[in-house]
Amino acid sequence: MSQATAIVTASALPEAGAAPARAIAGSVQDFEASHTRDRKRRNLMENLTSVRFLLPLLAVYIIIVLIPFLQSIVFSLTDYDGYDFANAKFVGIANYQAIFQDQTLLAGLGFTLLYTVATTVLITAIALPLAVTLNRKFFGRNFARSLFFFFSVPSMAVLGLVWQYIFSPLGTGAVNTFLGKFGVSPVPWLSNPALAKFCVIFIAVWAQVGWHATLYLAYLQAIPADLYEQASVDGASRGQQFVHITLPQMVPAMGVSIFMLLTGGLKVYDLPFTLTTGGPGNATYTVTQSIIVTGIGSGRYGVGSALGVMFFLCCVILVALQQIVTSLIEKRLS
Amino acid sequence: MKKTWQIIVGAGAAIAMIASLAGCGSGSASGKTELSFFANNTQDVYQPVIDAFEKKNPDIKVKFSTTNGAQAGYQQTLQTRISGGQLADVYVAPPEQLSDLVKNGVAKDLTNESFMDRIGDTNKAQASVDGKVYAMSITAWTNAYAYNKDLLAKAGYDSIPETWDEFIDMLKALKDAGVEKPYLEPKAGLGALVEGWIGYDSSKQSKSIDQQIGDGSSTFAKSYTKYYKEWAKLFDAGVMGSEVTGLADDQVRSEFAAGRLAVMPSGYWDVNTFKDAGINFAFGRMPMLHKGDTPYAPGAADSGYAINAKIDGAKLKAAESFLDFLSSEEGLKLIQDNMGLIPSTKNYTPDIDETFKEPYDLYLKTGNVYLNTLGWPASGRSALRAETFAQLQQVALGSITPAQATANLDTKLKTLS
Repeated sequence: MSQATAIVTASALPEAGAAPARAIAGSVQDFEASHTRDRKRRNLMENLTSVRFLLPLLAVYIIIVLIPFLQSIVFSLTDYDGYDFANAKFVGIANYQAIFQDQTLLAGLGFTLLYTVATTVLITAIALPLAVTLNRKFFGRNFARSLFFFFSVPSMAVLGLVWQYIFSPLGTGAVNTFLGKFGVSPVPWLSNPALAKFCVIFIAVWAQVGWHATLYLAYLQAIPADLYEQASVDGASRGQQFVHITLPQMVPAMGVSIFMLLTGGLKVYDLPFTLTTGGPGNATYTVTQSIIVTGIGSGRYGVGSALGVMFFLCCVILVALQQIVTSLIEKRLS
Repeated sequence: MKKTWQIIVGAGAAIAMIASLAGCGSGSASGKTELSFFANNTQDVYQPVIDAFEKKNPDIKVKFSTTNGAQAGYQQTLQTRISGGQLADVYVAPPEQLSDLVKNGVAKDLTNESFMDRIGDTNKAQASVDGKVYAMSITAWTNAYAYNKDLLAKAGYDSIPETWDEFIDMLKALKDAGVEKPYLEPKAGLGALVEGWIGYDSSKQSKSIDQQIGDGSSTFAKSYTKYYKEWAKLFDAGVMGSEVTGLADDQVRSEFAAGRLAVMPSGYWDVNTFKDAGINFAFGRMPMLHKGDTPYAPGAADSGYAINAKIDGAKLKAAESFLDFLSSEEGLKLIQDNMGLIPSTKNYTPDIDETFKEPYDLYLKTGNVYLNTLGWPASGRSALRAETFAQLQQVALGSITPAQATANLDTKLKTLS
């Protein structure tokens, strides 16, 4: 018996006695229970099928992420020097205490947070209007799209090496040569702490903005054109359309983009290292550089692992906060 | 039918995989003993050496491997290979790691090997742990000042002066003569010549100044402050600016090669670059603090070749033959020609480029070279060295004094111990 027939049968006998009614209601309940069981069984089978497809990915994740992370937790509680773990001694939380006494690391933490926040805000603020512009019809649109995307193709390490010459503090550096033509004295781009920070952030924004604009572009193209047509008919200006249609529709895309910028920003290493080596002084030193130089590069796997674990936890907290905020915004706008 | 094909394809893939893995093994293919060799330089520079060795030893096949990146990258890969049980039969053992390699039982004692008779005492000392030699170091390096003869002539100089004060006077004279950039140091090599001063002062003591810092009987604040104050005179005199905190090694080298820079710290490895640039240059001494001080420069024996302590039989014999060849006249000549390193053994007099004669005679012939990191605790050396540059950058920027820089180094050392 189908569910529809059962409901029709039950509702067709409203004047019947209480007992038959209870019997009918009971049979409906039995039917619903059996139906729920069927649905659960079907869902379970579907889930099992999905799991089979996910197994290879899950295995890779466990092997290259979960197991090393668990190993790191174990290493962080020992004085493991990277050679033979059998010789390592348990040192408790000593490695974690050492981290908070290291001024270099604290300086690295400061710049890492500045870099993360600045690149996230600036890239989001530039990429979104850029995507809207690239979504309009104009001559050379495809070329413009490719050009902006191309900035993100070379590795950050290569960009750092190239920009090192562009932002050279000598009068022979590319930017200083250009400024020199207007009588400007050489600017200490990479040899002034504040300017060096600016340079690192500027290059990161320049290199990534096109990629994130492309991401927004993909989401933009999925917004139904009817919404804009209807808004135009109602007399909404372009600015109003952006604020009231585009922006709310782009919240999921912003969630993805900001998530990637936050995680990428927190683990930044290649660009500051190749551009400034963390200097001048410790102005552009990063947490990842500290993990590599102070920990792994010095044969102090215990300390390096403790740094890694602490940093992982910070990232988890920050990303969780971002996810909560994004979902709250989504709920509010939906 | 479909299943049969799946089985056949699967079996084929498995056989192919097993066959390819078998190729990775260290067995003796075609009756030859395969000797794995892990080095910190590229294959193209080692290949002529390997070819010559294999020609002399047709029963041995050398399987070369290396790693990308600088010395720190090599050290890290070596560590990883050891922890993963993948250590090569012969490998380059950096002096910074030697005590750890010995402690973990992966470096064979080479003290009584016949080829070690060719090795100089300075190289042996640097490759020793508790009186036993564990690596065969056959080359050495030293810093020296590269100078542009034409620019120096503008201020009436034809060589680098003997003392630091005289050197600063020369730089001032160069500036007055219109040389815009008399002297530059790269950001990751600031204060290089300080090591020469410390080396000389250490030579008068039973234990080097850095060993005293390492064992806690002295501190950076007590020992290094006076040297850093002397170095900071460069900024006080206005002959070097804070722009050096943003200059990489290559950028300083480019300035010199372009003929715009008068003096820079350099080494034998730059000879060909400067020759190709077509400038009139030479290498000279690194000035000492006082007249009459024995010249010392930053430098050391190069990393030695070690034999994996866990190999035996034909592999061990092949490894010993390889080290014997590397330290032979033929091997040393090939190493010098292809890698640009300077052999420092007893059995071979290297043919040194005319431009590098003065530093070679002053430092490498005499063994008057000094590297501060070798005196520091093995754990954390590279982090501490990076910190010295970070602190000197802040001195260059004027944000801290030399005394604050050395105090900060003491704080850093505490966190590393």
